[in-house]
Amino acid sequence: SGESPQQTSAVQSLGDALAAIDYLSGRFRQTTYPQEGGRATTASGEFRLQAPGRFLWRIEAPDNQLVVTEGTYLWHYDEDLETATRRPVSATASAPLQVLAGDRDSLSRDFTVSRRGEHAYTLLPTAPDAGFQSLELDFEEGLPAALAIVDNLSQRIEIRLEALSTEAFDSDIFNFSPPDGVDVFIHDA
Amino acid sequence: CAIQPAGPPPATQWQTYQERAASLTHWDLSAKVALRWRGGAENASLNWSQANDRSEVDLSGPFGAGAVRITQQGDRLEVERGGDRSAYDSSTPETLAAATGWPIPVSALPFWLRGLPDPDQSIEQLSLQDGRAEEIRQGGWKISYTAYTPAGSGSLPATLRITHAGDNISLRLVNARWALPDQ
Repeated sequence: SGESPQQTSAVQSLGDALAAIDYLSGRFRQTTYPQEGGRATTASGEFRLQAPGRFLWRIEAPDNQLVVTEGTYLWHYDEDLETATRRPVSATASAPLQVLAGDRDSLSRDFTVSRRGEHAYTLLPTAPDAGFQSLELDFEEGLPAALAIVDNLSQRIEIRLEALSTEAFDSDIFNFSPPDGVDVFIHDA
Repeated sequence: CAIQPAGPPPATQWQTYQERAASLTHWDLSAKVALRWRGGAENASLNWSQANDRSEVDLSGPFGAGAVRITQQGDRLEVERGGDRSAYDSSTPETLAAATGWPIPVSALPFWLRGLPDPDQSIEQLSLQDGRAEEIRQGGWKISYTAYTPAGSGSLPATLRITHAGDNISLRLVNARWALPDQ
């Protein structure tokens, strides 16, 4: 393809770094900085990843949300609202986590990857309607440690990953079915 | 000991509530919303910033997914999503519905969110509880308030549901947190 050598090596080395991860679980701390300054908001919770393409992102504070995919469908369950939506995982809105879960073809197909440092990458979505503007991904000791996303409203979302473990776990946790009484909506596209 | 007076009768409590809520010209509301409309549903975090008749509404999912900003002033409504921006005539719900598939009268929302009837529409029905709106019906819309939260020197809605008679269109809002200028 027409990528410059430097670019290929960035995609290649990011792909290799992600390929080294089969299982990853831990906690996250997320800080969102609004576009025009003003009060930042924080959220925290737990996450699980299993290559390729499976992830679980459970927000435990300040509210209760779950984003989970077994690779085909992405569920977004909001406990406070008692609603759950399901859509095919191809929707790019969840791309930052798809990248983390080592979806290799998504990496080269959907992003331009460049390097900011030895283990620091910047990913710019190639699709115009991607759910966000840019994603920075920093590794520490071979594991993803920090993400920074600039979303469609130029809000900057910084995510710190902590208490990381690469031990295997039962991948059944990625199979979500909404509890009774929850208002479910299935998006087909 | 002083006997605690029974407090003003509900009617004047409602009068006081309306005056206080209507006097708020600048406020910020953050909440969680579940939106459902013809052929779609979404749950999102909402940040609503009001300054006189200008409303700036940010909706976004977890890690900023699918963030969109809606700005409403007078009869003009703008929707901004990742750099591209489209403008709509929001003078009538029909024009808005045709453009966005989203017929909730945006100009009424700043009132309904504060537990007030929209002054530009007639009130089909109003039921009160503890001197505050429990249900308002206007223009075929039903707004039901299930919880209030302290805000400034009074209280404002914390949980509400807006539905349209006959259509599967609704907006449900929970965990409302209000930031008022004098706070």
